[in-house]
Order: sequence, then structure tokens, then C-alpha cells
Amino acid sequence: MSVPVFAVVGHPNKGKSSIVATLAYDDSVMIGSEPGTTIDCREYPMRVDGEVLYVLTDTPGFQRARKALAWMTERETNAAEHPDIVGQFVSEHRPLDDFPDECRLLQPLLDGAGVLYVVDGSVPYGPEYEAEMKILRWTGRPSMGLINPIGSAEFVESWRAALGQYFSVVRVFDAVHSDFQKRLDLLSAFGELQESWRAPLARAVEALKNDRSRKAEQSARYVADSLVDMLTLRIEEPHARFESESRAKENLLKKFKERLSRMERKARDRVEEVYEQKSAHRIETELPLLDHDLFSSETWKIFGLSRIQLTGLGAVGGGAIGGMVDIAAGGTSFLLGTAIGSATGVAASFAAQRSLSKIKILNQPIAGRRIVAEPVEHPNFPHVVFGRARLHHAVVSRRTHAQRDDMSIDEAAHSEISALAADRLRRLEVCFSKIRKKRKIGEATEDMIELIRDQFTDDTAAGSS
Amino acid sequence: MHVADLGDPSLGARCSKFQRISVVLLIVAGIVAGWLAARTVLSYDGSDPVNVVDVLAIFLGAQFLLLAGLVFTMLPPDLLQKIPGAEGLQDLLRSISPGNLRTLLFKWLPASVRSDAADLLSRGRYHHVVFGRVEKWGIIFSAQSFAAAFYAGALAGCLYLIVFSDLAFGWSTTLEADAEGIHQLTTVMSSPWAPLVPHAVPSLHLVRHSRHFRMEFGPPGPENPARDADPELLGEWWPFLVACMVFYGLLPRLLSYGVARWRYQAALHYGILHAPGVSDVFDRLNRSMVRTRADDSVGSRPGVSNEDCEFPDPVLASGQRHMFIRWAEAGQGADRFHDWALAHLGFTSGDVFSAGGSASIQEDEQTIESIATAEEGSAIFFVCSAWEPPVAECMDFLSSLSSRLADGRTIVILPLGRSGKDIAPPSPNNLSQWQHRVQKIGDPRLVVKRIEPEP
Repeated sequence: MSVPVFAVVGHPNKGKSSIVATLAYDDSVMIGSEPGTTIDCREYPMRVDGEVLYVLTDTPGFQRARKALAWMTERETNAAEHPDIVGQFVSEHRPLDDFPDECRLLQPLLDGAGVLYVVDGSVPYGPEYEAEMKILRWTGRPSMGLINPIGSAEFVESWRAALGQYFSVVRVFDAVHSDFQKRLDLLSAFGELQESWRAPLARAVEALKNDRSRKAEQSARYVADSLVDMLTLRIEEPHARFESESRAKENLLKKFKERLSRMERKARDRVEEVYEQKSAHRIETELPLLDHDLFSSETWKIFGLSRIQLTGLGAVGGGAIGGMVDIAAGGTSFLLGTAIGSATGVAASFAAQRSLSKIKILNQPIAGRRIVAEPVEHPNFPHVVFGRARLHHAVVSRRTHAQRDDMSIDEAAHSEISALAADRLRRLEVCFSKIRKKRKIGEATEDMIELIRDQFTDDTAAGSS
Repeated sequence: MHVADLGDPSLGARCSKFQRISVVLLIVAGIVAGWLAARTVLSYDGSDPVNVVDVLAIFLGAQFLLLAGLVFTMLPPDLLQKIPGAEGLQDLLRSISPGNLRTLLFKWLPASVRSDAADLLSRGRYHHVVFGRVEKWGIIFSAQSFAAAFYAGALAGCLYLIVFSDLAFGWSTTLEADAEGIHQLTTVMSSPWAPLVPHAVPSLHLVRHSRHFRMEFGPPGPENPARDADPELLGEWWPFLVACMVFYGLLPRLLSYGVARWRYQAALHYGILHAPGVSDVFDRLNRSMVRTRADDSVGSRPGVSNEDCEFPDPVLASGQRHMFIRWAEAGQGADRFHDWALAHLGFTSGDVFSAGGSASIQEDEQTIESIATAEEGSAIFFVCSAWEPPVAECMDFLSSLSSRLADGRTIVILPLGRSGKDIAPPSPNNLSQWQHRVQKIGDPRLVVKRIEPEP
């Protein structure tokens, strides 16, 4: 059985390459406002374990459609010969090079490709499109009209009426802003164009879904790994006696912050690599790491928990430990353990809210004087890091490959992600707590990956709805 | 399945080799140190017998202290957190462990191996959560290799001296200890092997008759029995000492070596499973690989910058009737076109022709013919929809028309924008695509003009 091939054809500059870039998840597709950016056909095979399930072909736009149609019409005898006349046109004019774009774009159709005719739904229908649509009808290939509203959808309905006369299937597809589900729906619709294409397209859709969940999981793993590294980061260095303590502490704190920022950036790069958004230029503020009262930073206010929430989580954590004492005491402690545990948890969470990292000077008998930056204890720190990672993932996973503007991770747009559900927040806090205490880090990390993956999936789905 | 030869061994393989070499070197160092220690402790010049207390203190007393330290080092982090100051002490013990001798060996290694090891160590430091325990157990494992080798060397040295030299043993201590007490202690110590090797348990007779005082003028007689003791009797301590070395020296170290090796392998296993990138490998093995991108890297023309091009403003005589060509029915309906031209361009339109769009190629040719033969001097306005790109067909028409015109006539291209249903100035991007395309033709008759917004 031959592999389904879909040639994306149309008038120049109507978003053909944008559609290909989005459906092929390929940011190497050249998209330009200048007509004629695409000069050759380029194939985008969709492979699952090396097996090609379908091929998208980007083509140059029609340049001399009326003239080409006039040539064909002159030779018309009956409708049954239309495909042959198109073939004759290509074979005669290819060596002459007088219709280079038409020859290139028609060749895949003569080879058996389906037609995806793209128009821009933001501009009015014009009579110059008729010749193009007639030529495509002459090829006799299964076809679909795709209305790509570049900017606005003002003329979608008039286009629908016009395309309906030439194509049996007409769909609206915003190449730049379509979400993942819409892309899958469109692929499924391609499968409906011909009976033999349905099965490979259904397999392709299934494979893309699985691949999407793999991407969410892989991203979650990278974010979780960075959280573990950032939460346990401890720097120890020899301290020269001639260097003042305050100076040494200041330098170490600076180094500590740089390491944290580097870890965060590395996770960002990896997530973008997972979603194949490597060429997008990211604009994101650095993780603000102040020395005192971290609540004063806007980022910390947005992504961190409030003092009341933190106190609540501290009480929950401490209370859980105290509760175990009560259970061990068989109820004879009258819940005193829970009460004391909660109070201790609250006190600990307040105590840890002072600074980013404790910098200590150690006097080791053998190793000599050393200066140490202890891991961040601030209870809000992992929440802020995770909040920022969520926003970044939401932006990256929703972004299509046709978008060529800078990828702005704007914290002001944090409303793009919803607040964490209370049970997830509690479970996450338990993971953070275990990691800080280096207790069963492996298990805590795996739990965290699962939580983050679910949250990422929900965030992406929320963007689709 | 054919496995390709990857050429040079991987970084991991090279570092693993370094680890093996360093352990072998530590074992050799341990054997030598143990042998020398045995020769020193059991040195006998015939004057004073070898003091059994010294032998036990050095080979077993130190051993107990070191084993206590080892057990402390092996404690899991969960437990350490509950003991105040325990983590600091564990760090200290680790820093004085003989396993750190590896760092000394490191300096003598070839530069390539050194650089590999440094690379691995830096990766390990970055992923300290995963590799921290590998480092810890690596040090402990190396230390236990050294220690087990030390006891093997000491035992060998001890046996050598016993076999090839005439050793006399006695016991002497400044502590308040009598022969009964010492006998009781040695009997307890011998309990592990007493059923197996009964003659390796010192008898009370031996203990009583092997006590000695170092002072040459020490009290003779019953207070200093070793002086008068049978030399053969003094040699009877050796089975006990050898058994002590085996049961309290070598065996615990072999046990700790086994535990350290087991934990080190477990840490490596954990490290391998949790190392960055491993999950990606598993992912790749367990899931289908989906690829949607193009196979080639280039296939399109790079984008052209849309900088504005300068066109001279055409000189148009007011009051003159100019010709208009509406390309692909651009602009409003023909009946309103005259009003629009007057309002926006300041003069009334003359003949309005149609070309492109639904017009046929023959009609386009007729339009060219009509305009070319019309009165000279009037300008030709080519009106088009700015949002539609200038396709080759349109440019062919303009070139063909231009070639038919007499000198001095100009074709003014007017790309029209739209605002709702009304005509409006084109957007800068749309205007610029027309300007660029016309500029590429390089025909001086063709001028692109931007209509101005209504005042």
C-alpha cells in the first residue's frame, strides 16, 4: 500500500509553509512575508520507528495559474482527460521553464498526492483564485480546502462558500494558534479523503498522542531533576585566612545564585529541546534571588505561596509527624503529639523564611578552614521555581512551529496556568521536604515527576480548551 | 546481532579501569604496610619477648576503633540527621579515610586518565544527589580493600616470622592486671575458635609463666616468671595470636570489604539508573520514535527584508483624464471608482480597464493594445489589492504593457489596502512586497505609489 502524500498548495503567501511547519513540528520551515519564500517542494515524512505513515509536501505558490489553465483549456476534449492534460502540461513545460512553480507544485499531485488547498481567511475572496482551483480539480486528486485565518477570521464564511464549490471538504485551521487537539483533528480529516488513507492517519494520530505524553513526562523529568539539584545545592570551598569573612561570604553567595540560575536555564533548554523549539528565542527574567525577605519580589509573590499557605503546609507537615507519635502512644497522648508537631512545623517554616542560603565558616581540623553555602531552606523557593517552570512549559508546549516571534515567558501572563490543586500542593510539599532532608530522594523524585507530568498535561489541555 | 566496534573505550570504561588500577595499587600498598607492621610489632632481638599486649593493641585495638568509625561512616543519612553533629563527624571520618589515597595515586597517573577522571568527577559533583553515594561508597570500598590487604599482609608477615624465626612471647602491662584476669580475657576472646582449634586458647599455665617485666633488674622469681620460663612455652602464644589476627582482624575486614563492595555496586546501580540521560535511553527503548521533520535541512529561500524602497513621485497634470487598470477587480465597483479617484488622487479617471482575475489572457492582451494606442501623455494607474502578492502573471502583464508604451509614459502601481469594505492605504508590509517586486524588474516606467489616508 502506498504511503499517503498530501501536497500543501495555494496562492503565494497564504500560509502554506505555516501549516506545514505546524503539522510537521518543524521550525526549520522558512516562513516569510515576501511571496515566493518557498521555491522548491520539500517533503516532511511522518515516521514512527522508521516507518513512514504519511508525507506532507510543501510547494511553491501558483504564479501563472490563468495562463496555465488557458493552455489546458485549449487542449480540453472531455472531463475524463483532465488529469492527462495536467500531466501533459507539466511534461511539456518543465524543460521550457516558463511555468516553473506550476510544474513543481503539480508534480506531487500527478504522483498521487492529495490536495490541501490553503487560503487566507482574513482577506476577501478574489477571482484570481478560480483558475488555481480549477487546475486542482482537473488533477482529479482527493482534495480539501483549508482556510487559514492569518490574523482575523473576517472572510472565513465567504471563503467557505467559494471553496465549497470546488472541494468536498473545507476546514478552518489557524496554523499559528491551533492547539494540539485541532492538529490531530485535521490529520484525522486528511484520512477521510480516501479510504486507504484512514488507517495510516489513525495510526499517526495515535503515535502523536503517545509522543505528546512522552514529551510531558520527559519535560517533567528535567524539571524534577533541576528542582532536586537546586534544592540540594551546597557549595563548599576552602577559605583563605587573608580574605575577609564578609567578602568571602558575599562571593560564595553570588556563586551560589549563579549555579541556581544555571540549573534553571539548563532545564529550560532541555524542555525546549523536547518540544523541538530550539530556534525560538526565549525572553525570560532571571530567577530573582534576593538576600532578604524573598516575599518582596514580584515573582515570588506570583508563584510562591502566601505566608498563610506556608504556615498551613508547615503545620500539616509537623502535625503528620506528631500524629505518628500519637498513634504510637495508642491515644494516651490526647493528640499532644499532633499539636506540638504542628506548632514546630509552623515555627520551622517561619524560621526558614529569613534568607536564601546560610553561609557558614567551618574550622575542620584536617581539611582546614572552609566556607559553605547550605542548601536553600526557604519554604517558598521550590514553589517559585516550579511555578516558573510550569509557565515556561505551558508556553512551549502550546506554541506552534509556525510562530516565529520571540518566546516571551511573561510572568504577568501567569494566569495562563491555574493554581495548583490542594492535594497536589500537599503531595508536592511532601516531595520537597523529603528532598531537602535527603530522605528517599529517588522515591521522592519519582513521585514528583508523576505529579509534575500530570500538572503539565493539565496545563497544556487547559490551553486547548 | 552485530555490535559495531566503537574504537576508543568510553569515558566510563576508562574511569572504571582507573578505579580497578587504584584498588589494585591500594591492595599492594595494604599488603606491604601490613607486612612491615608485622615485622615491626613482632621484632625480637632475643632480649625481651614480644609483648602480646602490644600485638593485640596494635592489630585489634586499633581495628575496633577503625571499625567503629567505619560503621559510623556507613550510617544512612536518615539516621545521621537524628544525631546532632553526626554529619560533620561523618564528613571528617571520610576525609581521613585511607580511601582518599586514591587522590594521591591520581597525581601519578597518565594525563589522559587524569583528564577522564576529572571529567567524571565534575559530572559527579554536578549531579551530587545521584553520585554523592557513589563517591561515599567508592571511598569506603577503597578503604576496605586497603584494610583487608593490610591484615592479609600482617598475617603473612606474622606467619613468616613464626616459621622462620625463633620468637618468644610474653605479656607485660602497667595496668593492674593479674594472670587470672588476663587468662579470663584470652579465654573469652578465644571463644569463636575454641571448639575448632582448642590449642589456640592460652592456658592459665601459659599466661602465668609468660608475664615479664622489662626492667632488667625486675623482680626475679614468681613476680617475673618469664625470665625463668621455658623458651618453648613462651612460643606457645602464636596460635592464639594468629587466630586473633584471623578472627578479629582479617575476617571483619573481609566482611566490611564485602559489605562495602555490595553497597558500592548498589550505589553505582542507583547512579546508572538515575544518571541524567538514562531515562531518555529507556524512553527510547520502550516507546516508538516519532519523527515529523523534513530530512533535509535546507529547501527554502531565506526571507527578504522588507525595508521600504524609494520611488519618485510621478508628475501628474491635474485636470487630465488618466487611464486606470483594475487588476483582479481590485478596488470598489467600477461605478464608484471615478468618485474614489477624484477624492483620493485629485483628478477624475478616464477609461477604466480590467485585467487579471476573471479576465481571460486574450482580454488582458486587448487591454494592453488599447492602452498602448491611446493618446500620449496620460498616466496609467495600475490598481491592485495590496494584500494579494504580486504574482508572476501580474508582473508579466506590467512588463508586456511597459514594452508597448511610448516614451514618457509611466505606469503608476497603486496597491490598495482596505478598511472594512472601504479602500484604505496599504499596510507597510503589503506595500513593501509590491515595491520590492517592482524594483526587482528594474523598469523605470514602473512606479509604486502609496495612497494617502483621507484627510
